[in-house]
Amino acid sequence: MSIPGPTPAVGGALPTMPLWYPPMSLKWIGTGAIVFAGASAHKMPSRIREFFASPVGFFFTAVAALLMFQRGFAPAAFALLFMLLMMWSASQVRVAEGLVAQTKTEGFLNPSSVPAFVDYNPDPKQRWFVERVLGEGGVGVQEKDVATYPVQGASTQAGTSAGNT
Amino acid sequence: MNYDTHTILTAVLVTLVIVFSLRFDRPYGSTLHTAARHPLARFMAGMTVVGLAAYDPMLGVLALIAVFFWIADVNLLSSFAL
Repeated sequence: MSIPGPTPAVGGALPTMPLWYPPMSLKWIGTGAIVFAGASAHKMPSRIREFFASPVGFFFTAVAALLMFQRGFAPAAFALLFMLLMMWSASQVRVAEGLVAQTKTEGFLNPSSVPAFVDYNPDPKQRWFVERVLGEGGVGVQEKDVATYPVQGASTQAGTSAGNT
Repeated sequence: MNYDTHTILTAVLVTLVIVFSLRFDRPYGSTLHTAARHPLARFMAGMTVVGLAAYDPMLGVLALIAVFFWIADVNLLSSFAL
């Protein structure tokens, strides 16, 4: 009668893997790091965002995602695409370095392609006092050509000058 | 009709793409819209995309579109009367 030996560990710290290895795959750790970089894209320096949003950076990042997909690890490819889109989205928001806190992202990407009437001026001496104090960006402010129209046909006094003064 | 997990996930993701294409303040409120600014919410959304891509790349594509519509506030259908 033979006594069965101890059951070998399944998936544990086998001798084929060094002990200092993390308990999960390195490629998944890298994938998580890429996703984290994409999630915090608005806190990165603007130079990095502009690089990824530039045609060259956009192209090479997309090629890197394609290569990862070709190598059979699709999650890393999607993580790269996620980071790329987050970088591009964050680069659309104008945040002046040092003047507006990086944690405050003002507004979202406007999909209607409405241009800003007043460009954001990072020079604090050329900004309005309220903008300097509150740290606002004067985007979308229209300061001239205010049009007013008289009320017509809304009351019994319509057509007269009685209610339009 | 037998609905498997893949079909259900596809239907859910297509619904999310349509919902996030609408105007943000009417279909799902401003709370979820504000949550799109939070880095933790973005990280969770990104990991959801990655996890679905590991399950099926097509589901990853749908999830990536839905997440991007949510975060970048792309309102493709908001200009049309529904």
